[in-house]
Amino acid sequence: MRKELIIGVFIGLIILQIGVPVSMIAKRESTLRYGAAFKFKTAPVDPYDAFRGRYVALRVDINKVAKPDGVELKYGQKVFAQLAVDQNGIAQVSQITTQKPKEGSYLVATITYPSGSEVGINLPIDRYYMEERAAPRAEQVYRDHSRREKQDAYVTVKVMDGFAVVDGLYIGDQRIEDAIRLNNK
Amino acid sequence: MNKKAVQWLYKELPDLVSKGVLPQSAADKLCEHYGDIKSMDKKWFVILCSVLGALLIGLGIILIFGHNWEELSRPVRAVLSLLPLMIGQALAMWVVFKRPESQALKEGTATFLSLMVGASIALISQTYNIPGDTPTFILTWMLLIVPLAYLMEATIPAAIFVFGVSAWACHFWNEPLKAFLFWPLLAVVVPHFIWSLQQEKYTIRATILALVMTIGIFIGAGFTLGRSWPGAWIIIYSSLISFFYLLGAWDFKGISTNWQRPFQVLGGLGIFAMMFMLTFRFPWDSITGRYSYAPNEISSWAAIPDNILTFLLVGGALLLFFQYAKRQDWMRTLFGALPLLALIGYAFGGTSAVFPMFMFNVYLLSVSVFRLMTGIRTNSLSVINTGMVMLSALVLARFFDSEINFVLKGLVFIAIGIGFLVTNVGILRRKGGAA
Repeated sequence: MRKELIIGVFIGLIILQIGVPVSMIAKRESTLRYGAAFKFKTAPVDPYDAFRGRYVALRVDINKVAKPDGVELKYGQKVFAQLAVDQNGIAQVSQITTQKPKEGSYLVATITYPSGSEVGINLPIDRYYMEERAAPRAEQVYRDHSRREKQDAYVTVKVMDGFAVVDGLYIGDQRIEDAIRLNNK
Repeated sequence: MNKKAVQWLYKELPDLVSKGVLPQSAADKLCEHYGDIKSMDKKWFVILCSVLGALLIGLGIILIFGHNWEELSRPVRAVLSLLPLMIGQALAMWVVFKRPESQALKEGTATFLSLMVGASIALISQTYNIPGDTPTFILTWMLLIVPLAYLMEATIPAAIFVFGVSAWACHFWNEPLKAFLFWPLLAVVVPHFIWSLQQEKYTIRATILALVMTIGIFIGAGFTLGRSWPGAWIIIYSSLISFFYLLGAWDFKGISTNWQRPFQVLGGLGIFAMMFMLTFRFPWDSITGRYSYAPNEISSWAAIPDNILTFLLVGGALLLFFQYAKRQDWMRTLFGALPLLALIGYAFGGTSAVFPMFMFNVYLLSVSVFRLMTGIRTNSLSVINTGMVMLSALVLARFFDSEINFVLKGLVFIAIGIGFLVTNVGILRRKGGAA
């Protein structure tokens, strides 16, 4: 009895251990496939994560939005940020709500600064993983580029049901991986 | 099993047989029962090797994937991130079904599988640029591996879990209610710890886990307790380390060396460190809140679980202290008096730091002198030496203390020096009288 119980629970655990990563993959794959595409203006900097490898940290241009009327917001509160596209094709947050929007694309954002007429928000777009040696170069490539021309780095993001998956990082319409490769030559 | 005791027994056996205390057959049976001492060593060596091997291979795999191979397409990476996990599971499953009696294999494969669960989630985070929500990552990982401690009777997953939940709690220093979940999470491994104590009180398994738990609790306490009143850490850490020390010093049956008392060893070290720290001004200044950060709007009801646990902890430490005092175990009573003195110091510290500082200087001085004397009386070099170290630390710290003026410092040094000489002469006289 005891042994059967252990084996039963053990198999349950194994299914759970596989199930968590598989569901993580499935959610992102379906967002990448069926989500709406947006471009977010950003600046890349290079940090490091002992477990997950090297990534460039993304500083998305949007960090403040107008405070909605008649709503009390708290630090760390989750809100819904409705997305719109400006004349340059870059994504903007048109407004934030505490109720889930019925239509249009939106992201779940966190309040970082709750008082004042403009509140601070944090969008769930903060890192782009790159190859070990490429990541430190990304920042350099970006700096060189923004000195020569205007600052036009952006990330492409797929958005579905408030959930965002970062697809690619571009510097002046060139994928960062290609820009680094050209830079190396 | 207590190796030293068995060694002693084996040394005694021939003598016992020759003197007719035991018949030869009984001696043989005893040898058979306890087995070879060497083989006990070998067993642990095998377990250690398999754990170290699993740890290194697992960490190596994490590092190789950390390189983030650009050439691999997304679907390939998705499959690759599940692969090490499935290999780990297959190995663990094989052991559970086919070799459930091998401790080394169980410990090793459980360790490997624990790391691979983390590797798999980390790889997926990398492939899909998942935002850096580190606490969620850690907690998911930890909850997925902690059952292995029970299902595979493996201690390393439990140890990883303790480190993991401590690291998790560190992320919520400004959210006390969330951070407090550290304690129920920690409680998840307690049955495994008790089980490992029952299994083999005298061996490395329980010791490792005890070490890890002590460190984890020290970290966790800093982030979860006493968040609502500045300077409370003085009382909390004093109570915590005294609690560990006195609990570890309790005379459980069959423990023979200090290495089997990790709680006592770490607690003792901690008590010394704490006493020493409290002879300075800065801890007492932290009570007035002059240098402390403003606690992030911790409302009164959010602090309730914190306060209850703090109260229980202080109460528990004091209760143990009185137990030792009742048994007249003076050395441990003296060490265990730390929380009581911390409470007194805290009560005065808000108005002036001078009195608590003075009190702790006297306290550390008395403890180290008492230790020295006890060491001399019982002829124990290690006790003498630790007493000396404590005393030298105190003397050095005060000698370089810029806060006290030179004349006063000089007078106190001379007074203590004379005190030593007088006691010394007294002891010599008494010895001479006795001889």
